[in-house]
Amino acid sequence: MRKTDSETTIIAELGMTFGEAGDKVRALLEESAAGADEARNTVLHDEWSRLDEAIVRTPPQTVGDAAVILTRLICPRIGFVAGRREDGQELPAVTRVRDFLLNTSALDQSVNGADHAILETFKELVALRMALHKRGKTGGKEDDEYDALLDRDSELVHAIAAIPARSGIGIAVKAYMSWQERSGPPLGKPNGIQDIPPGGGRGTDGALITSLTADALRVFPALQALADGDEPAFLAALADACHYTGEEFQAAGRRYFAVRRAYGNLPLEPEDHERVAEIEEEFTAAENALVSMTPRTGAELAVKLRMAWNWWVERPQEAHGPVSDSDGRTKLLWRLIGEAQRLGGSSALPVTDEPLFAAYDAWQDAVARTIEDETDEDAIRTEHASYQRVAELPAWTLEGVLLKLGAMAYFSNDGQSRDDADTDHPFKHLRRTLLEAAPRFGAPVERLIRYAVDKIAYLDGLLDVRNRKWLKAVNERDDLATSIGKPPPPPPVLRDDPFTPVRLLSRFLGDAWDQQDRLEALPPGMRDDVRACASRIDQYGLAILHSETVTVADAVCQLAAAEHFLEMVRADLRDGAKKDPSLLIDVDRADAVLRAIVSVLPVLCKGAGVTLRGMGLSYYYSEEPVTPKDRLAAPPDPFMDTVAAFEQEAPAMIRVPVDLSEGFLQAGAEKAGISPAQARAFYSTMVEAFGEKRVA
Amino acid sequence: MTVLAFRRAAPPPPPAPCEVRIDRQPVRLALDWQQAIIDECRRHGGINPDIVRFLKESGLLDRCSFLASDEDGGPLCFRFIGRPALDTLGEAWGRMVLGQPEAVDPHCEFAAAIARQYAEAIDTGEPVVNEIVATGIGKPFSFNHALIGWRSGNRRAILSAVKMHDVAGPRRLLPVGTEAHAA
Repeated sequence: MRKTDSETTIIAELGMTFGEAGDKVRALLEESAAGADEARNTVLHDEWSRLDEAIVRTPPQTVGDAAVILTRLICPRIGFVAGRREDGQELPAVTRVRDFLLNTSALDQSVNGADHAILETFKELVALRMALHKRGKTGGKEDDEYDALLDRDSELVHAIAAIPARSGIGIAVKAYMSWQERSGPPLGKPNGIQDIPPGGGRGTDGALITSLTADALRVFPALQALADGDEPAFLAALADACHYTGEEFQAAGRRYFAVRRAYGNLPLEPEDHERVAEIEEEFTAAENALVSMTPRTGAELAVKLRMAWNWWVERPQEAHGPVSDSDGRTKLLWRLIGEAQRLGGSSALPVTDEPLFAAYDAWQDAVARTIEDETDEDAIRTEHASYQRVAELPAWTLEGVLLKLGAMAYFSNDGQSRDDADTDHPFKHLRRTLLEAAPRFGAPVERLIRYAVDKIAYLDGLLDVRNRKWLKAVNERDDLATSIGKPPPPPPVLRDDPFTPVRLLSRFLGDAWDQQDRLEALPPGMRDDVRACASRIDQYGLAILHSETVTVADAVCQLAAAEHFLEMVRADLRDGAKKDPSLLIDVDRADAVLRAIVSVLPVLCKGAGVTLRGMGLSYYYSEEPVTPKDRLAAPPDPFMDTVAAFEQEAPAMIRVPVDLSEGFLQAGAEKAGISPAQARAFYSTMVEAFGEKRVA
Repeated sequence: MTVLAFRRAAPPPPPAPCEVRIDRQPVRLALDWQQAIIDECRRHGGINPDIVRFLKESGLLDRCSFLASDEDGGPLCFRFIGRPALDTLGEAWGRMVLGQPEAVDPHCEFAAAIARQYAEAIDTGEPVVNEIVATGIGKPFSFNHALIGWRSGNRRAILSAVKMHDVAGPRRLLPVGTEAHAA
């Protein structure tokens, strides 16, 4: 009656499929009927009622599952009591329903394909519109074929409207189509939609339909490709959405539970060690296989939770569920299994950037291959295609956004010249998709993404301007050279050009300094990347020193960078000099060079017609030149200086007189009955003691 | 007489139950010379050795006391003690507490009350002016002080500019040759 196991899904609680559970119940019932003693009967009863409860409670996901439940309901021993209707037709009716279900191949076996019908119709509509667009209207006013296609278009739209949606995907398709119907497709994109106006559409209905469209794109990301006019990408994504049956997952789950049972049934003292090792190995493999599967429905999640349960519980009595003294966490995990299972098989596709990651991986592979072999044309093609894909795919998760930002930065640093005519440049698409993705993450993250995009675009813009300028200069020079048939004259030394490599790098350096300042203003726990920032400052500094000096302003920047490094060298030397005084002479030499640079810089600046501040170099020097002596001296400490100044004044206030007048001595000597000389000695000894130990 | 005063250093005055009444005054009611010191300190913004120079040159240093914590924080210690305090509490007292934390001051209740005023001036960074009456430490005495506090990391410091009202404290013990100045 029942079909093969492959058509029933796993009941996570039991760790077996509907089919297996049904078979087990039947076997237990048969054993009991064959006459077991009372003790054995109790065991059998406990076992089958556990299985039976799970079968009845778990929502079916396939026709096979439904059949097992129906079989249970018509069981002569534990099913309905036969013949509640007078003619006794209920049981035969249920049996017929079951057989019908099992024999109807037209039924879609997978609940994951809940909106299969809508998607299939939509697919046809997309293809039809592509064809319409390609063909265009011919044959003057009368073009019957074209009109027929238009009629078909309208039929399909009505058909989709007539099919009830059963998941978020169906609703998303309908929302997408609504916006399309309302605002019309953009020019040249028969399947696309007009951009959603920022701030929502006009009026309350406009606001709702635009928000619904945005939801549709989020719930069913494949639609984004369609909105962008990329039908092939959409159809590819659709194939994935339509054909996910979970078969692979179910197979991995079944294998895991089967091997686990075999493993659990091993005798305690095995004789066949080879077989045991084999099973153990198989078990590990099955475990790993299931761990690597991503659940996409509640029922699949339940299977993985059940696996977690197996790892979690340690007491044998908890193997099939919590017992009365199980702790709260154990009970919670068990509840989760049931709850996930009840979510069943219908779920919208999770929002994921898998396609983006796949494209990124392909790109990175291709890059690696082209580095290995520059002539590998296939790799070069793949590199371009996959990069283009990374640029164009929307990002739905923060990981996706980061990946795209990385790609953008990569391209920017690459400094490749971009032709203005090349409107399809990946950079443009990256920028667009990132700005589109930004609002999905809430205000603070949105600002961050926008800032990053602007910053990268700014760098790219600088490089771009630079390249164009250079190109122009080279062309002019070469033209001139050919026209008069002489070798081109060397370019004149300019006072300043803000787009030389050195000047550009200085600007980046200025930004890095800015960033470092901001970071240092943060509380200590949040300053992790100060070090990274400092290392970037060093990198820019070195790059400035290594770049070609084109203008006088370049020389200023390079000297300033040299000063930066020399200061660090000097600091190291000073440290070293504490141990090795012979280094002090080097410290002096460094001081002399630093002083020279400080005095040369303003003169150079004047010659170049620039100011240090104007070039973002105010970090090296304030506009009023500071003498190196002050810069190098230990920082003043007004606090301790003030304390010292007060202390210096203190003794004068309570100093005892060192010499006493004769009158004093006479009075003291008389009182003590000693001579004035003795009194003087006496007194001076006391004053001396007082000087040594001020406090009595 | 002076020798007797000197001897008094050995046994610290026995602590007596004392009562201190402190009335806060607005800064504008500070005496003119206190006002001058406050202005000078404000002009410098932070603590600065130039303040000492100013006090010395203007002859106001004698009327001030200065306490500061050590480099690494810790209690406020007497660094400089002015004439009013010495005249009221005695030179012996001055010798005993100079360089010592204010808590060592045997007139502990009085010291504690004053310490709270110090803390306020240091923590707020704003000058504090008080009218103070103390009984129970020798003959009752009353005075007025202006406090200027500084804080830099762990380090704290306080400058106290004091005007005693009709003091009848121990006689002054003047350094030789300074009698003319002290008049």
